[in-house]
Amino acid sequence: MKKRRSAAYYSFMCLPLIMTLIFLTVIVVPFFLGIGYSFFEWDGIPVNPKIFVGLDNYTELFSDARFWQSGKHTVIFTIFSVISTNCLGLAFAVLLTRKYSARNVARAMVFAPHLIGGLLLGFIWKFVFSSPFPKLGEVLGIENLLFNWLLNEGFAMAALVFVNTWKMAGYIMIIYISGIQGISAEFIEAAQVDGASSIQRFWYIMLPLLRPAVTITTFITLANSFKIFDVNLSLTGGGPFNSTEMFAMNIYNEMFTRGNYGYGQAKAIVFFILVAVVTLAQTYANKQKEVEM
Amino acid sequence: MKKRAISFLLAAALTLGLIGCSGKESGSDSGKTDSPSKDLTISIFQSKNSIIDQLEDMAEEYTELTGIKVEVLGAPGENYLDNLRGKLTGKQGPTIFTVSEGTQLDILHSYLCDLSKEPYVSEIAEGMGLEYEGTLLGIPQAVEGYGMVCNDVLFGDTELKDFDSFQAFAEELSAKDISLVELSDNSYFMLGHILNTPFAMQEDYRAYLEKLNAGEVKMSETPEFIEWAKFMEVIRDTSGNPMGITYDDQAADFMTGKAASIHQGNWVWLQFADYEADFDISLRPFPLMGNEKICVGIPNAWVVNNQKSEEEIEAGKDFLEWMFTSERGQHYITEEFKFIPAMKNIEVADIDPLSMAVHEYVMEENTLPWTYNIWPEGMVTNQLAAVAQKFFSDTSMTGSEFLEELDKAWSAGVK
Repeated sequence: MKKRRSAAYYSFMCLPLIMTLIFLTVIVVPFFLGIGYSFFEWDGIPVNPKIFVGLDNYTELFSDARFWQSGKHTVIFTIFSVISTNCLGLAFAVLLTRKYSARNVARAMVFAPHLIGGLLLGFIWKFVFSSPFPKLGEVLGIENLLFNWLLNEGFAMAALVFVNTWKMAGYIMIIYISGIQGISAEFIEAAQVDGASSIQRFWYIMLPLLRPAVTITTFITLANSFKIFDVNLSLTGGGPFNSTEMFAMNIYNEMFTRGNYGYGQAKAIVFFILVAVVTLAQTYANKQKEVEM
Repeated sequence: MKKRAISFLLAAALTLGLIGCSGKESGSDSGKTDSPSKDLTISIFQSKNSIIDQLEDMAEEYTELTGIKVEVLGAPGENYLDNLRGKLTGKQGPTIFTVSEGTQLDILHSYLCDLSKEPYVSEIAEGMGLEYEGTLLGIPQAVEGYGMVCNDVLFGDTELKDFDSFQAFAEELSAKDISLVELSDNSYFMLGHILNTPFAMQEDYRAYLEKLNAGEVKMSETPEFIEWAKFMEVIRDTSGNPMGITYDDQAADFMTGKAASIHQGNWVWLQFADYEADFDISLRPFPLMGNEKICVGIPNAWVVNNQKSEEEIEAGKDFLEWMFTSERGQHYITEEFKFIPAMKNIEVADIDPLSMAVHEYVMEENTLPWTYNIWPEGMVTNQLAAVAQKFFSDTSMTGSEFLEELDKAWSAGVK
């Protein structure tokens, strides 16, 4: 019997076409244009001249201490951020898959910061760090711990990790929750019958079965932390004295504050390659460890 | 059947959406229409956060008067040029915006309309118009000046003339937990403005800047800067770290007597409105090597975007004409924005004491120029501010080390 295909079937064929078109115009074309611009010296104003400089932008980049310094900051931030976001997200997921009445409300509350968005969260926390923090420290007599974190190099970085974790943990939690719910109760029960303690059940049964979720969450947090810009801009603005300037912000400053569009593009291309290599390597490594049931 | 109809509609809507988007864009590029449309909208983008609300009121009044919608685009503050550049290159540039002399004008001059045929340009005060290669492109927004905004009660009859009197007074106040000169966390309020003084005191600051950019001179080897760094050490040691202090805090500390002076300009008066002061406020020069002048300049000029349709350009010019010639427009400039006009047809009357002080310094010709308009692009925000943050956080850093770091940051910031 020949199946009659409805108009709906054909009209929805348009969707991928439209998506491809959007993808081409806003991602692919600008990307290749960007590669082109990276060989020019140009200030980003269309009417002003573009001077072809070949690979000069790229060679200059390797001796740009501030760029690599920002790279160092990014790596430090990413390491701490990935660990803290995943640990906290997993902890929340484990806690909030137990059965109790306020479970859904609690999930919503943990997820809420993600909805606010990095830029606003950054501004909110900037206020919290600069005003209530020192005052609370004074009242409690722990000025060494509660002071304006954003004024100290190390603590400003910690503040960034903290706020980013605050933002991302809820999102990561959702992924872990769906992972945990996908684990058949049989395994847990079987372990229980065999006399495994709750820690053993988590460590030897749940965690290995959550591997696919871990692959996804580490990918998301890694890429997200590496490309961090919004929280960086609103919380510290790269300060104090550029000690929290990340890759994305360095590129932004190069292009838009200093007006070196071509050089900034060259940085962006190198940045793209770095992000791609790191995230792909991570995904590959994690895939190897996944358990097939 | 029903399902099929819905799916057709959906597909059609999606496709139309796409066509609609692209259609709109090409429309605004070539948008020349003969008859003036009723829903013509002009947009204004400018760098002063302090006048946004008042500007919106003014725009509303103009809309009521003429029917032309005026949209005031949000407050960008420090990132004005980045924002403007994005808007212009994305073909969403505002009709009217502001440009400052020097670096900004160099970058953007090709976007600006020739305004020399406007009827009111003859009223612009001598040499205050924004010109590029002899063509008038911008109408000065206001004259502004800054120095030390002082609490006259706390100052008493103390007169700061040189480093010694400055240091002695700073220590005297510091013993009472009062800071002498409070700065704040914006990169210009922390460093840009105060660093302008030693530049402006050079005999020929343009030549000095050229040499500095070429690496032929160093700040750390120039007497005015060496002296300036000594002042900065005193400020740091007696007036605290400006990094935790916002512009609002600065005004609050001044008005509540926690700071005897703040390094600010006449624009700060708008911030004082929320407080009741029981002291007189004066504007004094920063006493670097006996300096008796305050720094005065034209921060910005109003310009019209030449990439817009002819109709919109005309509407933009009309708006500027209304602002500078009508009674209500002038009212907004002097009474609401609290600007010191740079136009001969606008009376300087009933302005606040700080603006009056600036006006008097201008009349007496006791002014220093604003040199940072010709510093390399992004120098203050992207290069020097970080050094100042370091200096204020690390109390072991000496003035001469500060200057050496500034020199390094400067040479790295020259393209």
